[in-house]
Amino acid sequence: MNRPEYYLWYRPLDKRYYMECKDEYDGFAISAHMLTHFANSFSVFQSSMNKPYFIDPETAAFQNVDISRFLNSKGGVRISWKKLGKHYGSVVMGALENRVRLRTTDFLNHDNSFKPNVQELTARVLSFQTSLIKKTVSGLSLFFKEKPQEKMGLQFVVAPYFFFDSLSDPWYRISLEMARRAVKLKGEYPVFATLCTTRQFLAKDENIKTLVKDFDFNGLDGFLIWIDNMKEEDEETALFGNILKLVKYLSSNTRKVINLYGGYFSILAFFWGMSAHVSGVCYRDSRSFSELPIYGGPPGGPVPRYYIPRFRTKVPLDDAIRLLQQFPELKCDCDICSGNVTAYAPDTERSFARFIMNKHFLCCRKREREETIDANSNKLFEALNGEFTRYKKFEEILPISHLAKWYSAIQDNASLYKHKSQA
Amino acid sequence: MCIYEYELCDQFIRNPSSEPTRNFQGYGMLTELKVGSKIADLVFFDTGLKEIIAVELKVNKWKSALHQAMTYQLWATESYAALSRKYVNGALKNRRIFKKCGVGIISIDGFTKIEVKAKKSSYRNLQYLEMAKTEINRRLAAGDKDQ
Repeated sequence: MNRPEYYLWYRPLDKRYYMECKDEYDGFAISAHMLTHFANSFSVFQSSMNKPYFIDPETAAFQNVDISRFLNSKGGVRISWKKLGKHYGSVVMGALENRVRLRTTDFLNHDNSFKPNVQELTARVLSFQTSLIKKTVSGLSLFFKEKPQEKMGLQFVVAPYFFFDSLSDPWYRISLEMARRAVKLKGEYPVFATLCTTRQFLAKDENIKTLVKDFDFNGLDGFLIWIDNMKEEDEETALFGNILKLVKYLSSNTRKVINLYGGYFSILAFFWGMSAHVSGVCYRDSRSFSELPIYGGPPGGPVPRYYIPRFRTKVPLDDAIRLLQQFPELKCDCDICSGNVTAYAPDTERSFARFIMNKHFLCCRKREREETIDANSNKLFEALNGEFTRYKKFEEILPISHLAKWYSAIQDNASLYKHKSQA
Repeated sequence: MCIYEYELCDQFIRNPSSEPTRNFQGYGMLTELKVGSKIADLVFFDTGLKEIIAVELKVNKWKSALHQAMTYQLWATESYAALSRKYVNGALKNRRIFKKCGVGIISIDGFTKIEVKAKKSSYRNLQYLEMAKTEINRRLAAGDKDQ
């Protein structure tokens, strides 16, 4: 791997981008409940795209999300969650049927030993990920022109996981145990663990060290990271430093580390060992635990935003047009922007403007990842500082403060940079 | 005492002795005018729509008011951020930025005052201007005239 990989959260409404911008991303991440709902269409689509993918088992949703969000207007459990519950077995189905969240007592006895549910859920979650697509593909085999590959691009399986906010949190023990058992059940696919925690947890060095040590067991092939509601543009320098440390330590045994919700900082973290990040097409680069995964977002889709490559962030279209009038040098020279200037007009049909802006985003992201090679690292780091310094006097009106914070975190953690000798 | 945005709006509109009200005498006024994806809290305009003044009301968030007011410069002749007098100091301390962007500052309480005069917008965009005029005319035709 010589550059960071980029996965897109699969959403049926975004198929147009997946097909038209095939070279601008590396694969898909799909949430488990969406897969249960769209298994057939995803199988056929994924097969035609021939892109790798992995499945987020979403076990933490049953722990965190308000139970009413799983229900339809008649009070019944929504079909996709019901289907997923059946796959995941009695403990999840029981919680859905009783309209309660999963509790630690579902997995722990009074003496703190593990209940059989731990083994059952782990086995079922892994089996779901490896078998659903296979079953679907065999059912649809008549419709494939060529025989699909056996693995169908599934990159790895993900152990069940839960959100934890401290080392003493019982959910930490449960997640750790499930990762261990997933490794014991390992079949033909690599096994990843998900670290689903808060910025406060990462603030303590001791937490990072213990977590890395606990999860450093043979057979585990990689990690997914999900930090609650972390918006790369809004966080403080210290958190970025803690993330670089975490990534560095987790990746030290050549394990892959993937940020489930990230942006450009996750690309830069490649130099510390972050192998990939996931986002939607110009949206969903952060997510709260308590938020239910959604199919389509708000009516009409997320607010269309324009990605400003020099600031490594996106802003609503109106703001972008205003800023580009005052700072014309911020105009992007990518293939999409240079050929579609009129598309960024206020009276352009919203869906078309969104389409062009999203294609521009994917084009920029591809370029950013291509630039992210070791020989360029210093240049990329200095570019952050350079842009911030250049526009510092407009700091209050331009979205640039994150550039200085990222730069500062990078400087503070330069000693951990994996290719220090080349920096 | 907690102050709400609608109270600020009320103080702004209802006080005939306030400075902006006197300045914009004879102008039409609309509240909540949507142009593009943003909604301006108050808009004053002359009969030929040659002069359109947009005001963003915020109790205390001056940066947010500034950002919004800047976007209105795409179609308004002048654009203001209006804040409660109690909290206007944050904006006044940063009047340099407001001046650079050409956005004015208004403070609101019993007597509403223009603290920093807005510059004529040099960022007007014909398409946004047309959208604003169309929306004003549509609202007026629907009898939605506040003044």
